[in-house]
Amino acid sequence: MKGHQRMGKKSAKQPASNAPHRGRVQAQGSGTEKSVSWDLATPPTKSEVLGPLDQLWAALTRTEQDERKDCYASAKSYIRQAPQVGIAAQFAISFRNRKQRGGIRIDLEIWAGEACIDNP
Amino acid sequence: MTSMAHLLFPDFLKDHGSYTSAQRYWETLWTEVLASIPVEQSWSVHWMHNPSQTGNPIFTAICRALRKGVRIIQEEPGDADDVDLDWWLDDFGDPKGPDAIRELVIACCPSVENSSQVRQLLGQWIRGAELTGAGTESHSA
Repeated sequence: MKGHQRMGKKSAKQPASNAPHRGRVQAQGSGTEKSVSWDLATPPTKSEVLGPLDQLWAALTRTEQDERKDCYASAKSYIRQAPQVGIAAQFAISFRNRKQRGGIRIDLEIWAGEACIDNP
Repeated sequence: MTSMAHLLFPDFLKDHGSYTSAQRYWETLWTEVLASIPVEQSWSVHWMHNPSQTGNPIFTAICRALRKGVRIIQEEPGDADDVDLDWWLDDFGDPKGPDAIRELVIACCPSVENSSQVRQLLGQWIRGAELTGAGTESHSA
């Protein structure tokens, strides 16, 4: 299943953004291809990355969620425990389901700028 | 994971020295694979910045000319029924943008036994050959 949502000024059909802080969370593997991206003028806080992660989680089917329950928990924990100043691009971390083959996972990707800075 | 596997650096998350050794292991493995293949475009390493020693990723490489990358995730030894050495292809960056990178991601606990499969995957990826073995190709959603 495919799906994409975007936070920021542009819609998914518009060309790549020049916003300085860009990234996404995505669920992949076993036929699932869903993501929520951000392109923002300021670095997203931990809450502003947990938001897209929750959006992504809500977009998954029950089966997709069941396959990624631990991945989701690990991703949330990782974002919450990120350094105070956030994480700088380029960076990607994958939380995979180790019980199954095929890259069943949730990814956090920071394409440009920073993300996961402390909440004010 | 095979219970008889001879794991390399299984304590890499608990011991700084072991982590450093694991990083060197991947760098050496990558250098050896790259040196064994005639390539026209240059690759550089450590293009991602992991702020902490989690092993996720532990090694990255990129060929900007080809917009191809490699990301290695080293995992702690898991349960006996865990799948060791999983891999997938993915896009890093906005696929509509000029900087998107197609990356091969390999996740495993390095071992004597899976070293040859990792080398094979990396070699195939560098050469642009079809990747063999169980794995998956993901496209940006």
